[in-house]
Amino acid sequence: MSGSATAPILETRDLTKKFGNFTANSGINLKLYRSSIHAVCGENGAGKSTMMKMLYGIYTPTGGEILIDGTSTKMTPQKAIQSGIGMVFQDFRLIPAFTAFENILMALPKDEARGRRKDIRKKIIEISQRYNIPVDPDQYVWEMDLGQRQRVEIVKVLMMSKTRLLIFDEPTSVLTYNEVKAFIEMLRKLRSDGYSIVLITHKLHEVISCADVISVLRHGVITDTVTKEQGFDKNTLIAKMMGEDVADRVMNYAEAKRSFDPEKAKDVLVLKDYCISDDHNRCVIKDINLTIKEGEILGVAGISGRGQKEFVETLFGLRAPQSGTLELEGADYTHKGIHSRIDAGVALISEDPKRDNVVPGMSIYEHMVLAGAPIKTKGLGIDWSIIKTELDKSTLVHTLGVPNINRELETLSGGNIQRTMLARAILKTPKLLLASYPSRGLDIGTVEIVHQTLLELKKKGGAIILISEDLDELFNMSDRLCVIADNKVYGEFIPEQTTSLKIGELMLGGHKDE
Amino acid sequence: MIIESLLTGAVQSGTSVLLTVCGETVTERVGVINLGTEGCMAVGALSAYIVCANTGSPWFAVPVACIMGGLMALIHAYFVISRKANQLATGLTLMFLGLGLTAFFGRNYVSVSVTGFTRVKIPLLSDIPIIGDAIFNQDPITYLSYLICPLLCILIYKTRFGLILRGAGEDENVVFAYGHDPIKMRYIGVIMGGMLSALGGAQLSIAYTHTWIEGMTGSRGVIGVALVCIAAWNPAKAFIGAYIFGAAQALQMMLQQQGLEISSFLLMMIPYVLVLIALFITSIRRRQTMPAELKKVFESVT
Repeated sequence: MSGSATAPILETRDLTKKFGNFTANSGINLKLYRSSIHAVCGENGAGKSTMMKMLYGIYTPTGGEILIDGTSTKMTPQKAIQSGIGMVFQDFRLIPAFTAFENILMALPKDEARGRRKDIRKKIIEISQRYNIPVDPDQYVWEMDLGQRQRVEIVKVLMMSKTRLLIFDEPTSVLTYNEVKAFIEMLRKLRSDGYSIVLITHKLHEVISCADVISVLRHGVITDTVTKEQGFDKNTLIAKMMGEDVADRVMNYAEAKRSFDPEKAKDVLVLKDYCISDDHNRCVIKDINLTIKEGEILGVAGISGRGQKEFVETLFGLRAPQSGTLELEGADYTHKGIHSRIDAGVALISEDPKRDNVVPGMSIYEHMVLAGAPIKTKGLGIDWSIIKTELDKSTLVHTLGVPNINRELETLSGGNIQRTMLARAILKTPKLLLASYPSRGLDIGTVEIVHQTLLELKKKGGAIILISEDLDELFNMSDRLCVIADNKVYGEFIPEQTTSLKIGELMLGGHKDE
Repeated sequence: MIIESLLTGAVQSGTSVLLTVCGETVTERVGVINLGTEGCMAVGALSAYIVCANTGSPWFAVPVACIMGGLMALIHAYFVISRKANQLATGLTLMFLGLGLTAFFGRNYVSVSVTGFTRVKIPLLSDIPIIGDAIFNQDPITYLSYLICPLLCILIYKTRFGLILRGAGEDENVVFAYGHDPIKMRYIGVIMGGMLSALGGAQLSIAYTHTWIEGMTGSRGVIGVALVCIAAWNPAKAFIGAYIFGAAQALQMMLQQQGLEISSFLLMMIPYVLVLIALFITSIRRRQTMPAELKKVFESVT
């Protein structure tokens, strides 16, 4: 790749997007150059996705213009591909029933797909070796975890020979601690090969080391653009992303941890030789021996898809264990159904509330009553008005920012559904909360609120199993940690006595020494 | 001897089902279910018969049948793809439309006889013991079906066109995002399905039975839809279900000819019971192979 680095590949002038009365973006001015990494940071709902979709031609801007190589262009996805703009989507554009190779072949423009299959395959291997993006062309996408899928998506974009600008939408949200490092390394290599890179993210700390320019997006407007030469200051940038008010509040995790005294607390959940099986009746986690006490948070680390879903679902009674016993507060619950477990005070936050919890057509308050909110009766029926007023008064519902309870749950965004389901799980003050990725995909401000809510439950004596991939979260919140890898549970570890590196290694490869 | 004639009957009777299964496989691969295959088949059977009776040329009858079946499928395609009508309702309606149309236009041909295709013996190959006669002493449409199955496999699994075709049945948004036209792919898939079903119908009327009777397709089209699942949406496996059904048909007729003292209605149920058993066995299979867009048909009305 050659040519002058001074002219931007893509430039936007006063780009504006309105949805009805709502202004998602206004006055966006960006200049994207070769061999540079431009990070756009902002919280959820700051308008990052809208902006990026305009760049790729999925949305038509309400105002302003996009210039490619200095020429004003009306963007469409086809036009974007032709102009060398490649996008790595957050929800990958891959067909699970196809292999990586088939997905790539389908995405290639006609003239590039015409070559012999062998040559295309060779090129895939070349690219994956050059940028250290391991991809097995013959593996089916449905067999891949999210990190692998992302790599296929990246190789796919790089396979298009015209690509010179890559847009990444929240790329690190699906990656584990160690994968993020490899990802950043790959970005550096792409940059030195002349690619222009746009990174859209809310995880500022991950991009601060590699970005050349950082733009902060807040409420649809770029509030600040800083270059590497000017120097990045993390705290200033975070404050700009979140607004001053949120940034001033500092969570005190250590204090919450001290409230737990393992000597006095009673056992809530005891697992003995518990084995978890998956949909195909294969054992995914074997021989779990765990005890969780009241007021304790047990962090469960692990790359997603290693049996975490099956684990919490088995504990909740949605699945039957292969073997072993489960005790709740001293009573044997191994063979008891979901209903008796709910009555015993077990609550579940599913890893994908949108998939698992939404009943189309039902409003938020109806969902609340389905599981969670105490039911008030009036005659033979439910007294909806009392339930509604009580929900409206609930501080929990307010702190978690649950939207108007008359709205249909189905119409809310993923993050809002997640918060609503968290509120529902905690409304009853459960004795045992199974929380799968409660803060995944949420912005920094909301994550803090979620953490506070969980810590309050802990203070009230609730035991929490916290499943997460975010090591910072696990270390801050957990009294004890364990790791799911290699069909086993490793641990327990005391967060203060171990390192995130060690836990990260365990997540990837299990125990090396044993 | 009994086994040989059973096998011959299985292929003769199974060919029409085989072609229907292949056609419906292509249709379902693009994410559309066409319950109207029975109608396409009946239209194919009658139009081939009429052309054959009037011109005497079965070779001319075959393309006409395919075109007529394709037109029937086009109705389905227009309603479910362009108008987003309910696929199940449209398909069922199409089936009864096809049966009704053929009953009406075919009433003058019930007693007309045609020569059509006759069995062509392939030298040497047909002398193979037991299976030789069953496979290599058949009518031209059956020989054609031997070619169509592998060709479809190559088309679906080995070409970029097939990849995009399958892509349209898996996730139309992805296909669209890369500059392909999922709507066009669906039309192609549905029309191809109708044409193959009609070819199956033609085999039934001008190559196998050499007669026209109202409702002669005898639910072969509907069974074909069920057999697509047994074949796991793979044309290479289409013959399994089709020939099992064909063999059951042949067996049922042989038993009737033997004059067994079992009600012929019970005997006529044999093929369907066998299909149910086959469906039961294949439902144990774990791996999900159903095209993803097809699931939407059953999960939502629109």
